[in-house]
Amino acid sequence: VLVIEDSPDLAELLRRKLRQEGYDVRVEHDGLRGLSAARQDDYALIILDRSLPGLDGLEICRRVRAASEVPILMLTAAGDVDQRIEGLDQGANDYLAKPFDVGELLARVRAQVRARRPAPREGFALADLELHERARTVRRGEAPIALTAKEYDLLHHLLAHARQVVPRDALIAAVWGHDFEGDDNVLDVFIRRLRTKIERPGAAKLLHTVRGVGYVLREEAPR
Amino acid sequence: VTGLALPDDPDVRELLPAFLARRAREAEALAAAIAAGDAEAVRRIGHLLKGNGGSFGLPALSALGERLERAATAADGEAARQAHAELVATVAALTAACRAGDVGSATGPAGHP
Repeated sequence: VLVIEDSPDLAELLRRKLRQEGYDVRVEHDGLRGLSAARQDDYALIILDRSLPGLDGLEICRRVRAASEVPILMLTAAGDVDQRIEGLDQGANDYLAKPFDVGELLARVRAQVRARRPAPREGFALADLELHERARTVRRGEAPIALTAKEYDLLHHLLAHARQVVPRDALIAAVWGHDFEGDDNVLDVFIRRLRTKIERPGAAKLLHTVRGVGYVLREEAPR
Repeated sequence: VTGLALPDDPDVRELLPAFLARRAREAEALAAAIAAGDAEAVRRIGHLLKGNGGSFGLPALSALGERLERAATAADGEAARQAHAELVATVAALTAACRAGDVGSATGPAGHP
């Protein structure tokens, strides 16, 4: 986290509190040095005071936003609605009026950092077929499906590219590695086994062969 | 004279002596600004005090900062002098409480708990 704040007392308090939350913290007290620091590193967040010596916080916000999506939390004067509007319009993600409660500031930092982090993928689903990555489990409807490690890897790759035709060599590379030198009929064997395990009579057919090319997972109504 | 609570936060408590020393220096600069009739300097010092005080768990200082800002805007030298006198007394009371390691029992000017 980069803190650009000219009050040494407030900057030191923020440094301590942010460190306790597990962040590496860099503090700059001057606008020009702050802008330079903002351009040097990729920060999880920038806390930016609106009124700074050297270069105004609003101008820093505008220049940083022109080149980066880093979340910016701006500290503004209490009661100054115009400052808040200007800050948000120039690309700040959030603002907090001074004086502020440090606990609230830390909660806002957590919220901004969380919002920037992509949500961990839980797994994949196609029709009623579900693969849960962390648990390494697969089920169709309510019924769990037991797969070997290779069968799981094969299904995972196909589900990750659901509705796209995956060439045979791409599947072999994904499951057995690029150095695979065995008989590529092994893929047909595993596809057959996978089909037996995931397909259900009367349910939508999911695993299809694209002759001469590869395989695709897509939902196709039963005939 | 009413109670003026010191913040409980251990980080704030640790930083408080330096924080108050800086406020004491600001109070000196404020006295000079008031004497010189420099309303912009009074407003600036008041503005800093307002932002810093409450964030350090000392709303009484923020309230004094706000009064200084208003006094500067209204060019009210008397109001600024009164706020300055209360600032000096408040910072002294807080500093004494800090030295005594006494949480929650500093005494400050009337009307500014």
